[in-house]
Amino acid sequence: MTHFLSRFFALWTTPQKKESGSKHWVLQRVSAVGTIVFAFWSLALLFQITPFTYDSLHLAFDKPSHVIAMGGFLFFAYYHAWLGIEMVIEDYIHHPLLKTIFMATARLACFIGAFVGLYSLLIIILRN
Amino acid sequence: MNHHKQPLSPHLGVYKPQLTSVLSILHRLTGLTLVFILFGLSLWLYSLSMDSALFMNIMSHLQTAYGKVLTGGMFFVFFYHLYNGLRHLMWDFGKGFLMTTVYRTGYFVLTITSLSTILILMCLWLI
Repeated sequence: MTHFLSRFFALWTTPQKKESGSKHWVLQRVSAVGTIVFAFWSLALLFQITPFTYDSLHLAFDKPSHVIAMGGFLFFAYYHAWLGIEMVIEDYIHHPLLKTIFMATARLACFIGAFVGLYSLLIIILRN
Repeated sequence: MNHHKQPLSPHLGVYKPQLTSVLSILHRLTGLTLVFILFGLSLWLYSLSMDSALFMNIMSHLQTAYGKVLTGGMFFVFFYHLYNGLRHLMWDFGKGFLMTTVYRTGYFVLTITSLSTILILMCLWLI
């Protein structure tokens, strides 16, 4: 465990190129762990509201724990998704212009998705 | 670029599908599907916060037969990617590379994915 941590620290302190593969690898793992934690937390909370109606959900999202769980999940899941899409694009699209277009579109889509989700949560809190 | 395309030896047509390769590509496919599921989640949250008509529309669609199949599929995809992801993390720590272990953990992932999906759907629809 300490060996792992020391290598992790070394990775983040050695100067590297911006799009370095090893940082991508680590971020993918870190975002995965974050996604798992917030996913289970969100699922556990959401299953206390089994009849899913408009009102029961609004009542649930009144509580800050629900909002933090869902918000955290949105953040980590979209980040993990963005890293995953990057990897898939790199594997299958080699034409430089097409690659740039796909990368930019995917990044934009993930940003918009995350923003819409998080903004909706904000609206829910402010309305209640 | 190489204009004289060299012939490829046969691949997908002849290579016998194995648990290793199938689970691996399934991990990628579920990952890609989950991106769209995530967009769906954002849409659902948007409808919950700002467009109750859309929310009712979505929920009524999800309660139909095909909606239930879709929900089951979404949970299966989610849990498969999650549990296989944990298997990947196990590999990242250097554990579980023995071939028998690879197969055992692979079948285990498929089992707990199915069980988790069934459990969640029971909680959603029966309780």
